[in-house]
Order: sequence, then structure tokens, then C-alpha cells
Amino acid sequence: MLSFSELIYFIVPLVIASTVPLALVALGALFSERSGVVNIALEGIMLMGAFVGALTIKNLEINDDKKLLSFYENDFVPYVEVYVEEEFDKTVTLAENSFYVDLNLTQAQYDKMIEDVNAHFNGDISDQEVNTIATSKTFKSISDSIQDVKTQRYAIIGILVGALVGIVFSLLHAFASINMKANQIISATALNMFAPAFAIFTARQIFETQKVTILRNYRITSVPLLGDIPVIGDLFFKGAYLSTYLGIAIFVIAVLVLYKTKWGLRLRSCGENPQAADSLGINIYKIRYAGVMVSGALAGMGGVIFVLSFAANFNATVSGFGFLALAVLIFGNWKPGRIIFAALFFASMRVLGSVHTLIPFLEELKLQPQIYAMIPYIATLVVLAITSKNSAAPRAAGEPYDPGKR
Amino acid sequence: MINKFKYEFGFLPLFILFALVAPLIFDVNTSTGNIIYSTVLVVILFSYIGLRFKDWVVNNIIDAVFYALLFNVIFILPGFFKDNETLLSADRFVLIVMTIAFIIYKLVGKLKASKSQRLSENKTLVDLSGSVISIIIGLLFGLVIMLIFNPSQAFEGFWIILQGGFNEGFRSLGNTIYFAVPIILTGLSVAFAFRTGLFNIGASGQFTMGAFVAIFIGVKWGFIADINPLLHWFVAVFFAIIAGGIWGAIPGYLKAFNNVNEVVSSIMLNYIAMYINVLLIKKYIYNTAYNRTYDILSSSETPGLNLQHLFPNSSINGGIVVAILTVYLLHVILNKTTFGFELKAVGLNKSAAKYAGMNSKVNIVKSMAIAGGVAGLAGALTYLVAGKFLIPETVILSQGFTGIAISLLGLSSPIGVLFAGLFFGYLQQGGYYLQLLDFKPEIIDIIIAVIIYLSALSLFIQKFVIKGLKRRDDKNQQSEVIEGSDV
Repeated sequence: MLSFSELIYFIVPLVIASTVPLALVALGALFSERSGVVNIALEGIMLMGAFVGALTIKNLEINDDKKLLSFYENDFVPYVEVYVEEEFDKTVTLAENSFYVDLNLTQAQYDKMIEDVNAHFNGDISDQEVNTIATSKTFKSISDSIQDVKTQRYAIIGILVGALVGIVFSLLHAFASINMKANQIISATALNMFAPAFAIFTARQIFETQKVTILRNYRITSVPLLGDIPVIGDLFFKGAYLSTYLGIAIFVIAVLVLYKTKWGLRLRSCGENPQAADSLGINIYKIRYAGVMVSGALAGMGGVIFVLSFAANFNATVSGFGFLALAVLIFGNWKPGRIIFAALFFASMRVLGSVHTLIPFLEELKLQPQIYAMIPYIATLVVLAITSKNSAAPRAAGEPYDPGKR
Repeated sequence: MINKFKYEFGFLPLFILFALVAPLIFDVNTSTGNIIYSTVLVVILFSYIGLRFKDWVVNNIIDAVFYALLFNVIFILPGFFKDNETLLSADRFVLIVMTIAFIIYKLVGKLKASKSQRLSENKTLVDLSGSVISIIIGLLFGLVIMLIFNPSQAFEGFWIILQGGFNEGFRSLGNTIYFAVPIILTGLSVAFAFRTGLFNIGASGQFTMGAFVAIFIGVKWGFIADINPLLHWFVAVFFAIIAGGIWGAIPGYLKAFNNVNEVVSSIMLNYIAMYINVLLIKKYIYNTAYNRTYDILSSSETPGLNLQHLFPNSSINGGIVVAILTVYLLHVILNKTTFGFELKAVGLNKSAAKYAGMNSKVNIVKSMAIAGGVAGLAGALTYLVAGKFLIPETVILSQGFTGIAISLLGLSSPIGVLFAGLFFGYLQQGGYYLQLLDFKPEIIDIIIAVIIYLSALSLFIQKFVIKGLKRRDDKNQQSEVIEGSDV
């Protein structure tokens, strides 16, 4: 049984990691609904973003591994053979994606290695990276250290790709619900059905399996400087993901845009009374398109962040996070501040469901994990039932804009 | 009197009666017996449809015979390619010649008829062509995707999809019907709610609850079978309907009395049902050795009703009869009863319905409960089959969402839903046989998703259809005027 402090250190990063995608996607839903378009396609958009993002990251990794592999075969193995022939036979194993060589090289040998590494990568990597490679004791850690630096770059590229895909995919919903005045639930349902089918079909057609495996771990062992702060460092800056911090930053920026800029005010007015907004010269169609696209971007990002922080592979599902985000939005009564708390609550429930056996007093209750998982949805239903009469839902959400209506 | 009979009862019971009794009377396995059997079935079915919907494509007995023959030819044609023995026996030859004659007769008749009425004002025609256009575009989209991933086999694969339920003759046709039953029922559930102004996105949850209750009773309540073996299945189905109905009534209640949007609450209830399902399975009927539910007792299996004679080697069972009866029942409720009228009125305008003295709140709950019950029935019929199991995993069962698609494609009318469901089952069979080539069956889900997206744009598509038809109408009218002036 873990001690209390260990437990806290174990649970808090987990909760934060699942809060961020939830809050981001819920914020996406907020943008869309505040502009007057109900977007229950978030699940599908998240899934699309996650799928393409994971594919991108995987491809980058494979490329990188090809480089590593050729480095290993062309430069490193001969190098090792010259210097430590005997150990090589005993200790080198070449797994599919990782390289384990246990070496004990002298300083002079490392200096030679720096040159080799530099020559191999053709100046493709920075001096700092070369340094970290050279100071590593094993080949495994060489490949790791390259990853550590490059990996985060991949994660960010993946997230951006996810956002882009989210935008493109959400345009379909925007087109149907804004231009075509279609039933927004129906077009969203179509997108929700399309996304998993497309992801499974494409993945199986290409790889024969529906899983898209991400090879590397994107966890940051410890954030420099901040990770050394006693309690806070342990809680928030160790074993976390860069994507988490990125998500928090994006959340803050998005909230500022929505509530502190002229554009944000216009967007919110479109969701409340589009006719009035139109009379003031605001282009309802443009604003609604923007609202849906922002929500698509946030959902796509949320999808990639979800994959990076929860699963080593993407298995054509985002575990209902898109719908859960919708619940977060409602539970948070369409307000960003409350959305954070709602997301925290929902995330804690999810985490509790998976770790409740570690916590003494919950262990005694002997509840099944499904009960914890259910609580957010039940809570949302209850909140809906109680507050729906004075909910802050945007008044025009879900209605196609009709200029002739008053 | 006869009119009254037609109006109130229709020919559907006759159809079902014949379907059930005929195999007992004569041998339907010979080709002649088969043709007689299916011809009579289709004649009854289509004369029923023709009598009910005057403006529909079918409107007299001659038409019905024509469709029956066409149906038979489609049934038999695959046989020509599959087994050489039956190549062009005399009865089939006669059949095909008759059908071609009828097609020519009908085409001539149609060309004459089309001059006399304005097609653009025929709402059914416009709606139907909207659906057909959606389907065609969806299929073409599938073709494009197949061309992208595997160009060399794309057209071959597309042909397999189009062949759908005919890929293996009667067997695949039987399987088409078997797979269509659950989605017809979930489609009915969504369509019924939709007609009363509600969007039942929670069919998945209701389906799950129905499925669990049915399996639970199928596994545990063997004592009923001791009383009467037939009773077991009925009890399982009955309680599944109740369970689904309760699960549907919750969002209905919240909508009526707490003004909660039923879409959101149903989504929440879908997830709650999913978790409850896992919990209860693990607690009561969990077969740990195989990570699934226990086998149901054979007394609770859906009766086969001898349909397997007609569709040898397929998984077809009596579920389709229940589905057709449900279609009929909901059709009558919606279109022929005061209760249905009230439900529709509440859906169209809540305030007006209230002003007219209808209790709109209770009606919302009732309508959602019925929709939920139908989805629960779908769950029961899906899993009250030997060799079908629920697996305790946290995945939303897809039938509910497919039901939305079917309801849209069937224009939210029970009869339309029946055909849309059969069509989807047909496509899914195509997907199954597609695996013979280097394609994955999920292409069908992609096609279906595209079709739903397009049905969301139906207003837009219909505008085009109306425009095209109007042009045709105007041309016809002009030519009529010219002809008239000549005389």
C-alpha cells in the first residue's frame, strides 16, 4: 500500500493529464455553442484529430528510427566492433524499435563518438543533442536522449496536425448547419459515425490492424528548474507531458479571446441573438464558421493530447471523451471557470475508477470501477434536471440563422 | 365493409399468416414451390402497400404482380451464375419473359401517366428521390475511397457491394434480413420519436438495457420454460421492452417536466447504460472462461418459424416477423389513432396542442417510452439467438446510431424505415463479401455515414430535385398545349 504522499504524487499528475483534454474540448464546445451552433460532433472530430495526429507522430518516429538504425548499422556497429568486440557479442540485442548496448567507453572514445554522431546526422541535430548523446553511457540512452529532445518536437507537430484536421473536419459540420440550415444533431451524428469508420478502415487497410502505435514515451521526467521546487515540483512538474502544459496555455488564451476581445463579444452575441447582432453589421455566417472551426481545432488538439497522455496506441476510440466534454460544458454551465472545475471533477472520477484499489478507504467500499466512471454522467443528469430552468445555455444555439425571424 | 377491413387491418396479417403457414402446407424447397411461395408473399405485401398509399409507386394488383415477378427474377438471377444445374429451367424462362413483358408494359403506362400530373408537387416522389440521390452519392464516395486505397480491385469490390445480399443467393439474402432486424427496430424507435418532435439519440442505451434484460432472463429464468417452453421467449422479450421503455421514459420525463434537452440527457443515459451493463453482466451472468455472457437457454431463442427452409444455411429467424408487425403497429398508432395524432400534434406545436386540450407533457413521456420500448425489443431480438453474447466492455453498441441513419433514410415513416433497414442490411452483406478482396468491411460504415450527412442536407438536395421536376413538368405542359392546338 502506498503512503499518503506517494498516493498524492501518483494521482495528481494523472488527474491533470486527463483534465486538460476534457477542458480543452469542452472549451471547443463552448466556442461553437456560444456562436450558435450545437456541436455534438466533437467525439468524431477528436477521433479524427487523434487518428491523423497519431499517424503523423508514428511516421516521424519511424523516419527517425530509420536514421537511428542506419546510424547503428553503418557507424555504430563497426565502431563498437573495433573497440569492444567481446562485449558486443554478449550484450547487444537489436529489438524492433530500441537498441540496447551496454558499453563502458573511455573519454577518448566518447570524443570520437561525438564526431561520428555529428558526421552521421550531417548537422541535422543541435550541439546540445550531440552532447547528450556523447555523455550517455549506453546506446539505449543515446537513442533515448535523441528522442527526449526530438520527441517533444514530434508531439507538438502531432498536436498541430490534429488541430488542422479538426478544423477541416469541422468545416463539414459548419457547412451543413450554417449554409444548408441542416439539423445540427443529424450532421454531427454523421460525422461521429464517419470518424471511427474512416479511422478503422484506413488503419486496417494500411497496417492490417486498427491500432496506430506510438513507439515512444512522451513523458517529461522532470521539468528543468520548476521540477526542483519541493512539493509543487513533485506534484505538477514531474512525469508530466509537454502537451498538458501546452493545453493549459491554449485554454487560457482561448478564454481571453472569448471574453476580452471585440471578436469574442461578437461571437457570444451571435449565440444569444443573431438577429440583433446582424442589425449591428456583424456577419453571422462568418462568426459562426469561426466558432465551429475553433471548436474543431480545440477538439482535434484534445484528441492528440488524449492519445499522447493515455495510450501508447490509438485504437480508433477516444473513450467517449468528446461526449464527456459535452457533459463538462453543461455541468460547467457554459462558463470557462466552471468548466475547469467540472473537468477536474470528471477527470478525478475517471482516475479514481482506475486507481481506487490503491486508496484505503475506497478499497473498503469495494465499489466496481464502472460506478466511478458512471458518476460524471449521473451528476450531469442531476445538474441538468435541477438547473435547466436557469441555465446559461446560449439562447440561439442549435437554431439555423434566419434573418427574417425576430 | 371491405374498405373498412382494408383500412383497419390491411393485408399485413394475411402476409404473415401465409408466410407462416405455407411452408407447412407445401414443400417450398423445390424451385416451383419457391416461386409460388415468394410470388404470393410479394403479391400480398405489395397489394397491401398499394392500397394503403394511393400516391405510391404501387397502386393496383397488376403492379403488385409485376413487382412479385421482378422480385422473383432478382431472386433467381444470381442462381444462374452460381450453379449451372439450374440454368434456365422452363419455369424460370417463362418467369423472365413475363417480367420483361411487364416492364415494357409498365414503362409505356408510366410515360402516358406522367403527362397528366405535375411531378414536382408529389411530395413522396421528391422525398424519395432525395433519399435515392443521397444513396447514390454515398456509394460513389465509397467507390472513390476504394479507388484511392486499392485501385486495381476497386470496381470489382464496388460490384460486390452493389450485389450485397445477392452475393450468395438465398443464404446471403436470409442473412440480410437477419442483420436488418435490429436496425429496423432501432430505426423505428428513432423515427417514432422524431415524428413526435423528439430526437432519440439514446436508442443505443435503450438497446443495451433491453439486450441485458433479455439475456438475463434467457440465462436465469429457466423455470418459466418448465411451465411452457414458448412462454420463456415471450417473457424475455416483454421485460426487455419494459427495460428499454423505462430507459426511454427517463429523458422523456426530464424533457417534459424539467425542460432538459432530450439529446443531451439521452447521450448521458447511453453511457450510464453502458457502464450499468458491464456491472450487471459481471455480477450476474458473466462467463469468465470466455469473457462474455453465458449461453441463453434454448427455450428463450427467437423461434425460427421455418424461415430457414426458404433461406437455407442463413441465420434468419422469426425476428423479421416481429419487426414487420412492429412496423405495422407503429404505422397504425401514428396514422390511424387519436393517440398518434396527439403525439404528432405535440411534436409539431407544443403550445397549440396544449391549447387544444392535449396533455403535452404526458404525451412526451409516453412517446419516448414507446420509442425506448422498441429499441429494447431490438436488443432482445439481437441477443436472443444461439451463439450471440454480450461482452462486458465499455463500448457503446452501434445499432442505436445506425438506427438514426435508417430513420433518416426512411423519411421517419415506419414503412420507409422497414425498407431502409433492409437496404442497410443488404449493404452490410456486401461489406461482408468484400473481404474476399483486399478490402475491409468498414467501408460500408463510411458509405452509411456519408449517406446520413447527405440526408442532413436533404432540404438542399430536394430543392434541386424539385427544380428538375418542375422543368420537366413545364415541358410536358407545353407539349400538351402544342398537341392540343394541333387538334
